[in-house]
Amino acid sequence: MARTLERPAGGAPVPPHPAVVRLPERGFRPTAAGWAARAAAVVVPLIVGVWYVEANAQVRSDALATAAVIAIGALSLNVLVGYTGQISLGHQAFIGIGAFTSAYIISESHQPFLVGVLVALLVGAVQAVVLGLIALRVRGLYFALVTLAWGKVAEQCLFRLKSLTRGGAGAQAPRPSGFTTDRAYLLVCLVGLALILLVDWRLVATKAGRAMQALRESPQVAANYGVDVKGYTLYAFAVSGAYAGVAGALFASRRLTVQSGDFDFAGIALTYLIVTVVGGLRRRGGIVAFSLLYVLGGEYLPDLARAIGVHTIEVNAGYYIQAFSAVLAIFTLIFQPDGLGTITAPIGRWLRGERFQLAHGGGALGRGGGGDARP
Amino acid sequence: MPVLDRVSRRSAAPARNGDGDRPAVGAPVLQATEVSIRFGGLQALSDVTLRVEEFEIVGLIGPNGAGKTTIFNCITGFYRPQQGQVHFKGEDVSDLAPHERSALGMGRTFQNVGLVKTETVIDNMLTAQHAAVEYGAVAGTLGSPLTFGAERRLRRQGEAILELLGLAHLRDDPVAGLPYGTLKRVEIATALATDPDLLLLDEPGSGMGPEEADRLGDELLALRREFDLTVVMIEHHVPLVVRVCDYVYVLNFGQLLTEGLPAEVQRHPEVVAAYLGEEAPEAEEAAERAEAERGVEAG
Repeated sequence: MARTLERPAGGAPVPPHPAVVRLPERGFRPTAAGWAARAAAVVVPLIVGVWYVEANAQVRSDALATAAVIAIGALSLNVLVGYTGQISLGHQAFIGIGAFTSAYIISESHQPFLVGVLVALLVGAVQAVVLGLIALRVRGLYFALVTLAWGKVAEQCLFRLKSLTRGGAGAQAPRPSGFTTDRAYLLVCLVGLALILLVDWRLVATKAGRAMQALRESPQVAANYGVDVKGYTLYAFAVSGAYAGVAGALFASRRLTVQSGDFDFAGIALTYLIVTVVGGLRRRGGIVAFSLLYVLGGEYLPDLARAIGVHTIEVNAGYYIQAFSAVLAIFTLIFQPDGLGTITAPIGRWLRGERFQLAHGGGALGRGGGGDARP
Repeated sequence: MPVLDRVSRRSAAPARNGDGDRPAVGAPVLQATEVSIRFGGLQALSDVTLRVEEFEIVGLIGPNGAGKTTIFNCITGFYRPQQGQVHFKGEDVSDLAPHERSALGMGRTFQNVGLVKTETVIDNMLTAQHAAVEYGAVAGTLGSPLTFGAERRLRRQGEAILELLGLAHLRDDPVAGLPYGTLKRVEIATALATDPDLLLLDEPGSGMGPEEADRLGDELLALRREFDLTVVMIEHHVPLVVRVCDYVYVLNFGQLLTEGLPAEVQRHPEVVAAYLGEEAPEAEEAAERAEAERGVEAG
């Protein structure tokens, strides 16, 4: 089917539309100093990061590992909510299934850590596809309720099956040998995050990602472009489930033991959704950045509260961070739909060698004008 | 791969437009047979039969609500007619989903613009080439090295089509925010990007003035040549239809009113009545008679 289009030598050329005014090519190239600045912008935060990990107690690296896990979980939600326009309010099931699967594989089947992660990835994808099959039949609010129920069922029933999760005692999920310290395990989590980011980049840059974005906007247009709408909806669920499986596996080994109580709606599903929204739907960089801010906020808020002498914030820092993020999410949705991506996306483009400018052609949430096809 | 076997395919196209009758050249590209569809109490189409030969530009006209877009939806698979079949390039496609028909070579535009509006023009062009992508979805997601070259080729192809339509300068513009007339043209570009053999255009000239419509006519003729297209178009703009179409079908109240060469159809009294909203001679007479009777009664 693929045919290359070239203008035939003898064919009468189509006269260009008179309304067309040819603009000069945008040929901006940064100077050497510009590239140096960009390199510095990458290297300096890296050095600061390494210094931060080295200079602080192990527990700080553990916080950063948490940030990486949250980032992967939020990227998983981003595939559904951001790219495909589906909702999941039951992501504690996605993450938890990954966590318990990995724990089971490592401690009960005595397989290496990597096998645990891979099996968690596969099982995560499969459970997500099952949910996706429902999404093909039930839409909108009703599907949101189905996901909510799925999360609750997993949390209250599935994760309490003693034979699979060891019930209240918790499932053991040892870290890979050689990476048992918090600092070393942070490295494992960062590698995991890097791989997920790489996959996510290629997902969006290739046909599957484009298909998802098209079917989010209009299933009719997508189908007209040749996209199998049902197939790619399921594919989106599979990808999201796979990310979540990895997040779950890393989550489990970070904590060493996991039990059903670790995967509740407010702590996982809602938190990850808020991180996704505030980070910015379809804004990978923003999501990672806000995961980091969210965790660091939880780390430093107690110190800050102690410094200004507000005892209640000092002891309940976690709740305050959550509440604050929720408010932030509301403001994001109303005023800045791109979330933190409003800042990270221009930085990303600048790093890739473009001019630094806040506004860009491909806005995430265009409004009106484009028409809406109805068959 | 060069431009497809353009020359050989074109030579098969008979000289037409005004030669009186309509020679059948092998199997028709599109054949819709006795298509009927009912929505609740509304019989939207009843026994509509269309035939489109290779390289023809066929017009589909009729007043609002006549079922023109409905027959498009039946042809492209968005609606499943309760009765009748659709054959495309000799194959029965009646049971195929829209994306499968698109992949077989049916390109289509929508009455109210079918583009992914949050994306840029070039991204729409890339998405539209979905069926032609050489790599699989999973290979793309996992970053197979093959995908990089394939993506470059898709981009070049998309750019070439935009260039051909004089839209290259809009490449990186988001679709949302472009004026309506431009959107219509971008949509034709995306439809071409799906690599169609048959292009179904739903009111391509809507919102255009007479001059623009004229230019659109030139372009359609040129595109047919350039892309070896067969075209079916719904169009209200009668001069445009008369100028570019080889054959015209007229729908009214879900039924085929008449069909024929554009010039004949244009003169057909019932078409004049149904399409231009004037009353047919008989109807006029009946009305006059009724008027007269009322006059008598009143008197």
